[in-house]
Amino acid sequence: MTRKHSLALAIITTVAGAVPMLRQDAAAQTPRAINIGGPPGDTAARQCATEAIVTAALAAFNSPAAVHVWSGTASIDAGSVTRGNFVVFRSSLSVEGTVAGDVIVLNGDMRVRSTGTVTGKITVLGGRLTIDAGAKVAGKPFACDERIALTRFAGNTVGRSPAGPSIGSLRSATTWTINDFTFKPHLGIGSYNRVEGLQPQVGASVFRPVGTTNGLFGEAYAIFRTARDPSGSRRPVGWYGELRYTVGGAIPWSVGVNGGPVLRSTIDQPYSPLESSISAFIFRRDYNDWYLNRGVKVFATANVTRELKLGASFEATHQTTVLAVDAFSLLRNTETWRPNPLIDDGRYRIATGRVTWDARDERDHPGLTWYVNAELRRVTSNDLTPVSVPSTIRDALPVKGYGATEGDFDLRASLRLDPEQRLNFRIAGGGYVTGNPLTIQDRRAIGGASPLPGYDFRAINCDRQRKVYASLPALCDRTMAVQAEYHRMLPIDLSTQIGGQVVGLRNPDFVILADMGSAWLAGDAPGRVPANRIQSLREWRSDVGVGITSGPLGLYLTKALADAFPIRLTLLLSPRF
Amino acid sequence: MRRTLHLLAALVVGAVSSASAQLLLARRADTPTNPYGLLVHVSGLLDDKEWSDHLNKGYTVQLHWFVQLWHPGRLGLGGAQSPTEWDTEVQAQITLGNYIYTTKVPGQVDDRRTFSTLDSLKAWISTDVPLQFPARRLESGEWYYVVRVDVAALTPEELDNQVNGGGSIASFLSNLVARGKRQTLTHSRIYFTVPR
Repeated sequence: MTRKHSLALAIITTVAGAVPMLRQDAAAQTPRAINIGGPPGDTAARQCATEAIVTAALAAFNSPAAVHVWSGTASIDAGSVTRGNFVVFRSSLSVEGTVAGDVIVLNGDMRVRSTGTVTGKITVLGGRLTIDAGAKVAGKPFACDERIALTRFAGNTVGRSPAGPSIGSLRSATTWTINDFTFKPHLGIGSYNRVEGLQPQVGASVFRPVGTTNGLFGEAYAIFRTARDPSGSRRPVGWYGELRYTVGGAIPWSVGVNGGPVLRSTIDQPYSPLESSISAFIFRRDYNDWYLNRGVKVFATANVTRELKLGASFEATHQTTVLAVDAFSLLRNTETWRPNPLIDDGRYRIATGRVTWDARDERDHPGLTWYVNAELRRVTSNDLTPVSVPSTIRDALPVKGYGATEGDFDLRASLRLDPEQRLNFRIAGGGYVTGNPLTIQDRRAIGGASPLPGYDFRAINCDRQRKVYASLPALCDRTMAVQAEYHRMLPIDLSTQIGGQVVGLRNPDFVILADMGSAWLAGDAPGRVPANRIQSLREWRSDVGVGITSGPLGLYLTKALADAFPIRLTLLLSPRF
Repeated sequence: MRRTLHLLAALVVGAVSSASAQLLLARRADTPTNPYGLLVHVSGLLDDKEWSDHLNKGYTVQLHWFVQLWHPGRLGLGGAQSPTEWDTEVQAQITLGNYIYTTKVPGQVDDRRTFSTLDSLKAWISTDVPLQFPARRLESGEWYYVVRVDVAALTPEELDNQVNGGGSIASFLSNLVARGKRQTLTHSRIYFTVPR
């Protein structure tokens, strides 16, 4: 709010008995009481309009023969006659004359005044219908004031809004149903990287409800890799398919199978997929490493409670090395990409179990929120072609009878100190548990955005020979980190009005952060930490910093302690944790 | 009698903060059936030319209410209780010559009211909304309320997107560049003490 308007508004003192008196039509109404601690979160859907009614209304609305009114105001003046169906979107309609046909109003109100006549059927969705005494209306009108998420598409048709502002608009516009099967196109862009470049995805999905709570979902799409790969390490077109059966009820669960030749990132990912994609496309900095995964995975998940989720999967897969190619980037196009590291090619069987406790909804857990995730994987192979790695880093892998167990854990807590202040904690780690040494694709490092933003990308990567590898692979067996953040909401408005648009942030959080973490080699050889211990805290790295966050965006200034890295400025598109 | 009790028992505990809460009013109001209750309303909203202009141009003026009760522990820290949130939406129907005021409480049927004049709508908006305290015994000690209202002028498209939800980064970016006015009103803490 500007100062000018602040001053123009009276500050009203609340004193006992100073309840404003109602006037006119407000006087006869009673304020609605709100229950403190009432039903949180989930809005009970009020299904006054069924899917069939909405579908029929949309079909009639999208008829080219209808007279369309798009937003603004609409009125049929007294004495005038409109012939044919009259359809209105996001507008209120007043009928004083005659409509010789049906009337459909979507997300708007309609009133037929005393002089008005409608010879056809009236349907009002997402608004109210008022018919004055004396008005002539044929048939039984239908009105439902529950607003419906609708979008106007190219070609002047209206359909249900897609689940996000994106390419999905096209999906929603081209949904079609045959018997019980609903088909939708699948259009996506995947993540931009130095191996595939842009990877447009084209395919389709199908859903068939089974009973009232269950459903069968299938999806298949092709992946077109725009960056050419002369080495032939992967094909120009990949594909992905999935079939999943979901069961609703008190404990929703699902089982399914998926697979296809797709590129997968190695386990060390200091940036989110979106951040890495943007960084690769604009700055020619791809912070993920990639390999080709050709496999089939069977999986099952269950939401045991609102917080507790269990998952298990078994995958049979063939993983092979792919090469970085000359993918396009907006900047630094004369630079070569960081090479994509070689991985341990082989045919693997991977069994995974996962448990997640997610109690981060502040409506249910207002004071202290928790998140716990633990995952255990057993990786085996009888057809392995290990890459050569110095014995100071890893003992030789067998080509047959390989078996390793690895795991990850992530524990987060957020404590609200008061309405403006919050403390966040996280302790996370993962890596080797038992068995043969880890494959290259499952090794880790520290440095980059998470968990130590004060350090360069993979600054601690267990490469004893100091960057002998230009690809800068993650080579450590284990990582562990402890992070803490103090948030304070700033009562400032950083928004301004430019033309008709309000641009900027309001009430961002000021953040003070501190992180400690390390990555190390596990085992009994010299220079390694015994498998039953974590690395001595004296060896851990740490950083401190400040930042400003608003929603998922965060801008941080961080400085590594005890290492000669300069102050780093990091922009993140998702919360650190 | 009940109204008299209600008014007599009203306690002014909070104060309107000086710079950023000119519109938001909240005060304690005790009744025999609703001890430690709260009355809230926004005053002067449509006397602001910008908001009334937005309303008359077809925007929906939406107020997202957030009320939270706190029972601070040692050092005055912590003790947040589950918040209560709801929306109210104000729309002008130029063609029909009236105004619509809709209250949307999660899990309940929308409460929609029609007003024939702007004055009657203004009067209604500045009417106290009583917040019923939960029927449970409170621990003794100091408590306080926090009230926040996010006011936004939304286009029909933005309203539809709210119904539809959306991805976090996508919705955040769209909020960075909003077509209509945005404002957050906060109220300083409203304290009360539960005796032993």
